Amino acid sequence: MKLKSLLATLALTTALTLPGLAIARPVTLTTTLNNYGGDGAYLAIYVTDASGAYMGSLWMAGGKSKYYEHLSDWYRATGGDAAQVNGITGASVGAGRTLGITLDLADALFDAGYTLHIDAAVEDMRDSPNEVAVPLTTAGAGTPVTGRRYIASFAYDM
Amino acid sequence: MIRALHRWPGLLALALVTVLSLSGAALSVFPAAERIVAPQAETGMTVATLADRIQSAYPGVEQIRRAPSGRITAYWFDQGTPGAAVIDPATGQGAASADPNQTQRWLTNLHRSLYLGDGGRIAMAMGAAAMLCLSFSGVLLVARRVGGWRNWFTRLRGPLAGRLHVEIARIAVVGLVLSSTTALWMTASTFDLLPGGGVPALPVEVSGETGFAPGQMLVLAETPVTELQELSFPYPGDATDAFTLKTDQGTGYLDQGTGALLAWTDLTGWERISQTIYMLHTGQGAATLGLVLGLIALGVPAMGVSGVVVWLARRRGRQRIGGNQPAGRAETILLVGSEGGSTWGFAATLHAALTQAGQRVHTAPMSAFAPERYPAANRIIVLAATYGDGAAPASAKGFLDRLAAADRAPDAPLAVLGFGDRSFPAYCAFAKAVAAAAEAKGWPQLMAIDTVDRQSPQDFARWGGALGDAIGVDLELCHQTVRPATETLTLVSRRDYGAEVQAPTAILHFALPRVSLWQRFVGAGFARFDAGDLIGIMPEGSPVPRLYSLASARRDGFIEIVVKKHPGGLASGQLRPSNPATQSPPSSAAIPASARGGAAPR
Repeated sequence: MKLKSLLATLALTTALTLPGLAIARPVTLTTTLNNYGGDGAYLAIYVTDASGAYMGSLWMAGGKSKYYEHLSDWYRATGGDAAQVNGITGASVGAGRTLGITLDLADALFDAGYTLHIDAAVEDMRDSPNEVAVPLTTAGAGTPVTGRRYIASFAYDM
Repeated sequence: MIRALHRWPGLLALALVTVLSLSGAALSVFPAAERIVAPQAETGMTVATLADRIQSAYPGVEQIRRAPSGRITAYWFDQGTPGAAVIDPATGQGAASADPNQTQRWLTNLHRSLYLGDGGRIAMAMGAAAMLCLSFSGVLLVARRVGGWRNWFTRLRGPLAGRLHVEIARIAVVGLVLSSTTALWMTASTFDLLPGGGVPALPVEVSGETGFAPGQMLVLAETPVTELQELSFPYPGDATDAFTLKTDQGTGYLDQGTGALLAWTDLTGWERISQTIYMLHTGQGAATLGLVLGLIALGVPAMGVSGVVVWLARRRGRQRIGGNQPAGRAETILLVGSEGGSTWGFAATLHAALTQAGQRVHTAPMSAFAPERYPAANRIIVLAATYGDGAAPASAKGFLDRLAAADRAPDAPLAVLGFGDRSFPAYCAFAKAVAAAAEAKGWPQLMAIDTVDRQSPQDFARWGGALGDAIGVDLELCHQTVRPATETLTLVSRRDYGAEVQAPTAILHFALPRVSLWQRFVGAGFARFDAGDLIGIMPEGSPVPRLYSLASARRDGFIEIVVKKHPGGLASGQLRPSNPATQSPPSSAAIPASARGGAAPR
């Protein structure tokens, strides 16, 4: 299990702090992949607002920007702008492995209609945009959800 | 220089290129197999028809992909469960599992990164770069060996390992250059070092309606399946989404409510090149080429082994030149034209004597002749043997061409010493050719051409004295001929005739000695010989072998020579005792390793 602790507030200045949200708290995102029998998966973790508009990215697992187009929803939302994940990019995640990241998320992101999305893609296998889509609520914290194809479980803990 | 550029990358990258080539050869089979197994779309079938068939079989279809092999895969969701299958385009039904082949995946990861991530990718790219370097230096070496580009496919001579190496190389080099160049391109592309294209942005303006069947869409009806790469369906229930179509030409979006083309971007030139390169490297979309490249890659381990054998043999055979100076600083340039290596022995003696006399000497094969690299040279000395009927020996290939091609002769004066055997008609013919070419070119002469007969130390010492006089140093050349490795042959039978006409002659049959596996592999010793090759016989009382023409070949199973008694002849006397009663096998008969292919050890 990889634990990435980082000052995501710094990296997320683009969008997630825009509504003037000052108070933040550490949130741990835990993503466990199932044994899909392929190479390491690329995962894009990002947030949209109530209207579905892209707000910002939380993490990009996968270092080669030429493959980002396969994370198709994220790619459409950002126009494939790799600058969106500058400094919050890590290695792709192998089948059956767990990605754990801890970042400081603004309090105002919770219970305000924001949705966390994960797009997933694996070489020579299907692209899975919107693999996970969970509303960010304080009540939902700690409740694991299952992805559509590659993610065995995803949960955010505060 | 070129040989060093060939040897060191070869030895250093041997393991890497072996892994690369073996895994590459194994991988080359998959596209061909996929091409045969995958159900193909009938000619003229359009994407609209295909999408229609798949959608009626799998209503939850999300994406349709077509591999260059023609294999069509569909991905769908059925009541929340993901499904995938290889599709038979004739029915739209699944025909086989779409799970990636685990063997292929394992091999692919080994081939491109040794399972070591980006570090492994860089290592493998360096392996490809080494392969490219080996190919180019190898091409120059082959051209030199066969005596020019025109003779690229000429018949090869010499020990087996070297022949095998060149034999494979001159066919394989095209494929290896192709594979390694495309490999480097693909690595550069993976590391984002090449400009890419990217997908156009999804247009904001969509009709907002849903439900237009893809089978009715005009653009899809105009796109043949053979051009399809990928068709992604809009996200169910999202009216702002659209169909995404990727073809060999480019990428575009289709409205899910009207079927209209919303946006289209053609592939950029770079993307087209990258796609072609990908096809050339992987054989995906060019399965036959892939198989050919795979077969060629199998030559790499064979060349690796034979290359090491050649290198070891050369190391053993080559006289070590102690204290060789760089060409740029040497006052005396010593160029050696040798076939079997014995002339190198003389060169080593001369090199040592000149060095002892305070000279800076650079010794190199004649084939490395590069007058512009000798700025400090005061004289150039050529020691040249002859190959066959006056041809250049191995280490002098290309010398005459290069001299002829130079715009003018070097300023440093030239001395030529030929090595040969007076019993051959073309005695020192190559050395004479060199001297004549030099004179024609206006190359100043340090000394007139001289010759050494049958490796005579006396001839050599006499010439050395004259050279010393010419350059004003006291030079004493004391050359100890290296006694070649010998083998004792057993006489099986003899037939005498000619005594009645005062020309006593004997036909001698010797049994073939045992040949070791190693000799058989490298073609050394008695492992390979033909009638007409020369056998060297070491008479007792002389260090210089006497050469006899063989009258039998290896497959005859015996060694036959004809000996004519020369009055006072040392070898013929020993081989053919005048009194048959005292007849005995010759005490020692030797075949110098170099006495083959008509080459006398000179």
